[in-house]
Amino acid sequence: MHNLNFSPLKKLEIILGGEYQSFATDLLDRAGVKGYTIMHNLSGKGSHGFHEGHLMFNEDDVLIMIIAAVPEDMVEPILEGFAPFFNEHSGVVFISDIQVTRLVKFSDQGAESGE
Amino acid sequence: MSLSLGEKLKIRSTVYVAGEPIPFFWPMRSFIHHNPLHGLEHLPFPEAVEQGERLFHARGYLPRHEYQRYLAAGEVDRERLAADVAAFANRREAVAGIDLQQWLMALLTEVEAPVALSPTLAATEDVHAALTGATPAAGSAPDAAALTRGLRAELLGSRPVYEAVDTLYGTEIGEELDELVVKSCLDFFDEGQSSWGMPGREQGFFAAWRELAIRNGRLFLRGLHIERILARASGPEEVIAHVMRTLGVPESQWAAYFTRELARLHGWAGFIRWRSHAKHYHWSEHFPGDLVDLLAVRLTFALALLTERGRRNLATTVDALERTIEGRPRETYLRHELHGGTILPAQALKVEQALARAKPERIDRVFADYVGAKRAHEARRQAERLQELAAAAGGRDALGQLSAEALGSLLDSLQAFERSEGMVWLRAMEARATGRLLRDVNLTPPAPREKRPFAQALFCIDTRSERIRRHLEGAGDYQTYGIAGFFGVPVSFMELGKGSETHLCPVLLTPKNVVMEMPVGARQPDMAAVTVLEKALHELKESVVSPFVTVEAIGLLFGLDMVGKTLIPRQYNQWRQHLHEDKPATHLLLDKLDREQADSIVRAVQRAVIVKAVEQEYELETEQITDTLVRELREAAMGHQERAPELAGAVRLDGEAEQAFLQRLRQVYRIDPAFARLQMEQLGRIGFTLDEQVGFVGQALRAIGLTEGFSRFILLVGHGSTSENNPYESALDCGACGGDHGLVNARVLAQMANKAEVRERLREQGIDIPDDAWFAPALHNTTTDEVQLFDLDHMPPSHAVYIDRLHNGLTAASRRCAQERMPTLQIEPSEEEPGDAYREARRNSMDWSQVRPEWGLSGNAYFIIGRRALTRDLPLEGRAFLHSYDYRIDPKRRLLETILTGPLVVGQWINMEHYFSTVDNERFGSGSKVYHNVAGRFGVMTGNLGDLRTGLPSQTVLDQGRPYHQPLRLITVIEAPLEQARAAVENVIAVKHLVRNGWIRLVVIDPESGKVTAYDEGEWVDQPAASAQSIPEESVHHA
Repeated sequence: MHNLNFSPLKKLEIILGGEYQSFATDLLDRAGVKGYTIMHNLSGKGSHGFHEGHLMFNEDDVLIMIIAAVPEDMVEPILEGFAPFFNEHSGVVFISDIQVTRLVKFSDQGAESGE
Repeated sequence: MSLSLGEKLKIRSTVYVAGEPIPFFWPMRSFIHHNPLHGLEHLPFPEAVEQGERLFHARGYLPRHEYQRYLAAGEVDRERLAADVAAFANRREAVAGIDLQQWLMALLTEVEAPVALSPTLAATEDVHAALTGATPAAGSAPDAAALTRGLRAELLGSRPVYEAVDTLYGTEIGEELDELVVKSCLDFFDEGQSSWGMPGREQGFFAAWRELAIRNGRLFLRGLHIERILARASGPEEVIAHVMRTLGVPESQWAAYFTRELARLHGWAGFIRWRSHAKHYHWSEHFPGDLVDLLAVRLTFALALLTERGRRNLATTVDALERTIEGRPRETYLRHELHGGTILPAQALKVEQALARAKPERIDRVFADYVGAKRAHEARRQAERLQELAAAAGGRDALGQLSAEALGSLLDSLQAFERSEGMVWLRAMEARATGRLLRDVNLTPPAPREKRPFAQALFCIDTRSERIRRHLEGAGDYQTYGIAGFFGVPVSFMELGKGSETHLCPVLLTPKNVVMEMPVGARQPDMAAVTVLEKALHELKESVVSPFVTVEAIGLLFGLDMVGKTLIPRQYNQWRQHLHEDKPATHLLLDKLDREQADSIVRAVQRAVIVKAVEQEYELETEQITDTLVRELREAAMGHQERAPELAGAVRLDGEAEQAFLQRLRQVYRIDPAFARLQMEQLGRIGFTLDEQVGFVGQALRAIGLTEGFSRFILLVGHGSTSENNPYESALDCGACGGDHGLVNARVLAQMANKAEVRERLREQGIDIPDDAWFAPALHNTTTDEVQLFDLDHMPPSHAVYIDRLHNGLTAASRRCAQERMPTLQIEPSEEEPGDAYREARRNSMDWSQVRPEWGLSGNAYFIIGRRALTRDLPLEGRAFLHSYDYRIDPKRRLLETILTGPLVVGQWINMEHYFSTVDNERFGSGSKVYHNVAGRFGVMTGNLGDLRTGLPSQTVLDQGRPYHQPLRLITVIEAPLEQARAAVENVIAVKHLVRNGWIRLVVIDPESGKVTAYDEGEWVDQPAASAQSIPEESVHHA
């Protein structure tokens, strides 16, 4: 078994209303994020009360979470970009420290270092 | 200038949020009724209307005299009016000698014009003096601080700079700017209307516009140096930042500033907003453009125009404006009066001359005179209005005896009242409408039937179904139900001859299943295109699969582009046109393909395409294109073998040319494994599994409460309308079907429900449909009221005996319905025989000069969820959405929640669209159809150049200038135990907010207890028992 190289990255978990999915992914795309994962049909409680999660007639009325792993220097621009949105809408962003082994999938730096 | 990534993203985000109050504008090909204040629905109704009035410079309620007319006609609950007025008066400070409540009632019912003016200069003392005839106190001119404060509030903040400049100098920059922006939008967003397309559109709106703008000689000649501005920034975000900083607008104001900019052309902004969010919208995918682009274009023009004007020493930046306000407040005030439209006409010339000379002493003098004159004028006018009101209230003397202080209190109260007057009228009108309904609704539960009805019919909840349902029930032993017009089955429909899909479902949904239309008999023989493709199929034995190698399938599997442009352009278009002339009888393909079938289809399609490609590229004769040749090419293109020797031999290609052709096959003609996988996925979307079919049929039947006692005929009646020369045609079709007619969905559900396997599974679930029950699709034409049956060739022979009786019943219903409806469309209503009315209705549908083929959904007021027995004997004049629902089979409230989350929301959108288009047809509606010109193929403008008109035209909601549609909020009635209804509403977030914020009026009729409860301003209020309530006959009397 060959050695695994661990590279540190930051994980962003963005929870917001389903109707804003395309806005959020567009912003991430423009920030240069290489990929993301979207989870649907979430429920939860926030300052606006409990939000029931089941998918009804209407596909917009659900909460989603977008998970993206990004290099540290991208975190601030992305948060800066989302700030005006979260001033007006409910939702949260969690930032945590993670590690990945295939850096090339998440960052251009990985490609240069010959991963 | 260059922005950091974070700054760019922030601007994008700011623009996104700024654009949210602007409602979407759907292309009119599928007109969608929606609430123009949808972006403000998170606010309570009165606040949202207030904001909407400011944002769109519109009126949110009818003018008082229209409400007075309604009052005289008995449409307003006078008691409720008085009660609300009394409640208001009690909250206000008492005024000596004045019965405030009496005065306010007089104000509402006797006085036409608003009484409380908002004087800018006159103080209460001045008004008092005018009333008592005393000489007004020597007024001191407003002090400098107050003056500058007022001017700053008017001119700075989030107000677009050019607007402020226009009101100071009369420059009309705003109009010029709008024109330039509209022209740019028309060029870029055109969808095939103009013969010469704008170049470079694939780069996106801003980029393409930029390329042309920097070279636009005409702009240069006007003195607009666009290229200088664009040289400073490359992307749209940078341009926005550059312009805003150059103008000096503080960043904290940007969001509000952007909103106001976008609201100026809210039709175009709404369209661009919709378009950038739309999934699979062909034009948007090829020519992308979003609000950031729009704003960048607009701001560039704005800065260029301001810079050009700025050369004439006008203040054109925020800094310059501030300096003018601080340094020369009196002059600025006079300018604002003159060009802002508030000038006292008698003083206008003097002011204009003084400003032209711009000598400080003269300006000061004129200012003092002007201010004095205006004060006196305002005081006089206010006094006059008060006197008029006093006369109506019988209190002339009392008015004259008031002290200045008391007068001030009175004026405050009047002003506060007139601000909230609209809501008072609205609530009183709604109270009358609700009372009328509750008085006549039938609370007795339906008696169980002895035998099953002759036929049952499911109609769309659309208000127009109410009339035909009533007349059908009156024509014989018929039972009718209401269900959303797409029958709960979202379908992506591939129509015969079209290479693209149409979504037949509410716009909130995306259908997951594709239904294809296939001709029943043999295809026309003279279609060169299709013959070629079919020829390649001769090895396919399965006849059911062969229809797939058709233009529709190619469209589904390759996309419209390929078909039209690459493969068979001329023949395709010709064949399509030929098809529309006489469409053959068709049947729908509903069942899933199995994997083998799908595989065969993909192979067959690929081979057919290869044949065509070889023909086009190498001009070989058909005999020369052998099976081996085609097979080799396919295998090579798919990567299963290296070379295609047969072709190479036939046309003498060397190795390189051969590989080049293979590459073309892969890239241009899309013969490659990845694309083949995509095609298999697409084919997988066709049809419904048995589980899905059972699910849809079961859900539809349960939702309306029809789970036993099935008749011989169960009609599924979709609806659509017919008119000529009508860009709003789609608005008259079925909203639940995405602005299309409902026949396809009806045919789909009927076919599913008639399948033996489906019925077997439903039986296991407790819904036993007898063998002799037959589901038949039908179409109700709402313009002519004709109800036509379809797919009769599928009907079992046993039912043929009864068809005549059914036809007769339907015809009788149609004719009587037309007879009831036609007087509303005639200039002078007259009684007609049913036959004559019926003929007249047909004429409406064919007359291209008819601006009002039918009233459509105008008049909608109620949304009733419950059993038909509730409303069976209650003529609702086509004003109610009726959704059948039986609470007894819905203990978990799932069905009720489905009805609330879908059909009710659609009903609310329709209701609000009509409300706002009625109260202000010029701003929220689209004005008169007569002046409309189609723009870009997706919208209309008034005149040659202007904003896209949104909302409904005057002919739809007004009748000879007065409201035909009565603007009320949707009165929603749920027939269910109170707790069940409340819990269901709480569970559906969207509806919970609509109810809490007062966008719909909710009433619950509890069939178990007989009690009626209404939700009003945050509380559930018991209503008096329906039968006991008697509405006194409205008599017109004067106070």
